[in-house]
Amino acid sequence: MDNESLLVCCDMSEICIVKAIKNVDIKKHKRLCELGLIVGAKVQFLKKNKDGSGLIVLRGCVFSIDKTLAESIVVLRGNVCKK
Amino acid sequence: MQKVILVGNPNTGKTTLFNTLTHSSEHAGNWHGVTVDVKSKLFTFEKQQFELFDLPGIYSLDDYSTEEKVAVDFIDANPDSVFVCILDANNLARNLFLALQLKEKTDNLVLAVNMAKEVKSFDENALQKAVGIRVVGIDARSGRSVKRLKQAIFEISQNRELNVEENFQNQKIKSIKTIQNFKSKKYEYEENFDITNFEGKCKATFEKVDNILKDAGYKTERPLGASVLDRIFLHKFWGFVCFAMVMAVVFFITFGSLGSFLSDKVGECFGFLSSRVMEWLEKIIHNQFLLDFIQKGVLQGILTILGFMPQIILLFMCLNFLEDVGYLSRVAYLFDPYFKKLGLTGRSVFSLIMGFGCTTTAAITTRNLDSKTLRERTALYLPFFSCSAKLPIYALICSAFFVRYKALIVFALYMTGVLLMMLVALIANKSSKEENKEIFMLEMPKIRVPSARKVIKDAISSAKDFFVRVGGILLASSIVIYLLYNFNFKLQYTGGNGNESIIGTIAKWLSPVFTPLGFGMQGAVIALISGLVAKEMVVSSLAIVNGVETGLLATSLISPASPVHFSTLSALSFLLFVLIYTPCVSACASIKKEVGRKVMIKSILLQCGLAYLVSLAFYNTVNSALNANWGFFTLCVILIALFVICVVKYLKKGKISFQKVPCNACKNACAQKENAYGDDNLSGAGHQGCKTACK
Repeated sequence: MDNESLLVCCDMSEICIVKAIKNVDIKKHKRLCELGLIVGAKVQFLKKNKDGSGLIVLRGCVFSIDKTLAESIVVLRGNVCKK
Repeated sequence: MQKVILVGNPNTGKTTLFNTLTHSSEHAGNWHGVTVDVKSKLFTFEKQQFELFDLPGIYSLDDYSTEEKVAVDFIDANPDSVFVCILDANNLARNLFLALQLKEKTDNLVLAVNMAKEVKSFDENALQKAVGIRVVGIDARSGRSVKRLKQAIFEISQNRELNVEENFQNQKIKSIKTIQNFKSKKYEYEENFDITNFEGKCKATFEKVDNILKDAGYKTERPLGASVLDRIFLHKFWGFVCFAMVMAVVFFITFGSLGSFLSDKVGECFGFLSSRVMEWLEKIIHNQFLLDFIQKGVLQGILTILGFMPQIILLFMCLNFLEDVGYLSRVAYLFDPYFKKLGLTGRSVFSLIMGFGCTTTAAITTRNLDSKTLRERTALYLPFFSCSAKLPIYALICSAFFVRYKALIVFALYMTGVLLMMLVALIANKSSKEENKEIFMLEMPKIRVPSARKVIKDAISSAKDFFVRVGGILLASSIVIYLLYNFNFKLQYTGGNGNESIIGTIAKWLSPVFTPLGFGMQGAVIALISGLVAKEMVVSSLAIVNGVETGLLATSLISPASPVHFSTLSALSFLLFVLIYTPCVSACASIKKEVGRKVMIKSILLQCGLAYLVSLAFYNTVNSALNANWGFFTLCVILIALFVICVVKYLKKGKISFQKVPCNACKNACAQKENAYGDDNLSGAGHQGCKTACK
C-alpha cells in the first residue's frame, strides 16, 4: 500500500487509499469532500470500464465516476500501473 | 405557527415523509434532485398546528448548485424552526455528516432515520446515545413510526417555547448567535477559500461519524446501490439493449393497443356527454352564435385534451415507475461517456428524459446541474425531446393515416427527435471553443420496487397537474382561436368563413412559406400558430377549422373536401415539423427563467429553422421520388448528401475545407517555412504559403 498511482489505473476490487485530488476546481473539490472523497478515504472499483470510468464504493455507497475524475484522484495502492 | 423544516441529503425520502406527514401527493422519485424548490403545507398534532417545509436535498450547509442554494438560504432565514434531518438507514456513514453540521448550528433538531427496518444493525437508542440528538427510526413510505416523529417534533417545539418563556433574554442572544453562525458559514464562497482546511474539517467530521457508528454498533452488509440487476442495466452492450427494450415497452403501453383502446373509450364517453350537454343547452339558449361558440370554442377545446388523458396518464405512469425503481441513474451512467462527446454529462439525462413528460418542468430540473454551460446546453436541447403535449397530435394523425403502425411511427418520431438532438449537440460541441471539463460523479440509488398504489397515485397527480396547468391556457386559447377564426379585421362576424377571418388572413400570408413543406393550407398554418401557445391547441384548432367534433377529426383530415386535409406524405411532413418546431410559450418562459433570454432565443430560432429544413428536405425528396421526378429527386439527394459530407468532414477534422490537399513537396516546403503547420492546419495564411510553394 505504499505505491502512488492514479485511481484510473487501479484494478477492480482493489482497495486503494486516496492520497490527493488534483486538477479539480475548488467548488467541485468541495463537493467531493462532502461526499467523503477526502485524503485517507478508502476507494474500491466495483465495476471498471476500459476507459477508466466505472462504479466505485466510497463510504459504503456506490458512485458512478467518469474517466476525468478517475484521472484526478491520486491513490496509494499495492501495484503501480505500468501505463 | 411553529415552522418545521425537513433537511437531508438528496434521495433520503424527504418528500415521501412530507407527503406522509401532510397527507399530500407531491412528486417524489428514487434519484437525486426531484425537489428543486421549497414546498410547504400544514399538519396538526396535539391540537397544535405546524407548517412543514420540504427543501431540496443538500450534502452540507455549504451550497453548491442552484437548488441547494435555495435550501441553504431557507435554513439561514429560519434558524429558530424545528429541524427534522432525514437520514437513510442504509447510508448513515454519509448522511450523518450533514446531521453533525446541523447539530453545531441548532438544538431544535430531531433525526428521522428512514427505512430503519432495512438495516438489522440499526439501534435507535444506541445511535441516539452516541450522537446526542433525538433519533426516531421511521419508514416514510408506509408511515410506520411517523406518529412518534410527530411527537418528537411536538416535544421539541414545546421545550423551545418553554425555554423562550423561562429565559427569553438568553434565548434571544442564542438566536442571534445562531443567526450569526448561519451567516458566518457563508465565508469563504467568494474569497480565499482554503480547500485544504475544508478537507481537514470534513475529515474530522467523517472520523466523528465513524466513531458514532462504531459506538452505535452500526454495520452495513453490502454497498448501498450495488444490485445484481446492475450487471444487466450497466453492461456496455446489454445495458443499451435493455434501455431500448424498456423504451419500446413504454411506447407500446402508451401508444399501442392499451393506450388507444382507453383513449377511444374516453373519447366516446366524453363525446356522448358533450352531445347531451349541447342538447340541453339548445333548449335554453336560442342564439345560434352563442351555441356555436360554446360547442366549438369552449367544449371542443376541453374535450380534445380529455380524450388524450388516458395516454398521458399511461406515459406518466411509466416514467414515474422507472424513476421510482432507480433506473434513471443507471441510464445516466450508461450514457455518460457518449453524452461527454455531445458536450453534456450523464446527469443531463435526468432533465432530458423529463422532457418526454413536459419541457417546462424539465427546464426547471436543469437547476441540478453543476455548471452554467451544462445548464445552458441541456436547456437548449430539451425541446428535441418530444413532450407529452405533442402526443395528441401524433395520436390524431397516426389514427388517420397509419392505423396499423401507430406505435411504430410515434416511436420513430421520438427517436428522430433524439437523433437530431445528438447531431446538433455533436456539431455544437465540435465548434465550441470551451472544452468539456465536467466531472461526473453520481450516487447510485438502491433498486426498489415501488408500490402500484404509489405509481398510480403519482401518475394521476402528474396528469392532474398537467390538466390544471394546460386547462386554463387551453380554454383561453380555444376561445381566442375561435374568435379570431370567426371575426375579420373589421371585427365583423364571418359566419364560420375562416378564410376571411383574422387568423385566416395571417395564415394566408404565411401559407406560401409552408407550401414547399406539403401543408400550405391556411387551416394547418392556423393550427401551427396556435400550437405556439400550447401544443395541445393544434388538435383543437384543426377541429375548429374543419368544423367537426374531435371523434370525427381523424376522418376529416383524409377527406379532400375538408379545409385541412393531408396526404400520407404531407401528414408525415407535418408531424416532423410539429416534432421539431419551437416549444410552447410556458416552456420558452421556463427556459428563459432558468438559463436566460439568449438561450431561449437561440432555442426558438434553432427549433424553427431546423423544423423547416427537415420537413422541406423530407417532403421534397420523397415527393419527387413518388412522382418519378428524377431530376428534382437527384438534386435533393445531392443537396442532402453534400450536407451530410460537410457535417462528417466537420466532425472529423473540426472545420470544413474544400481546399486541395497539397502535395508532399509542398508540405515539406511549408514545414520548413513554418514549423507550426502540418496536414491538420492548412487553412489561412499558412495554406496560402503552401499553395505558393506548390506553384
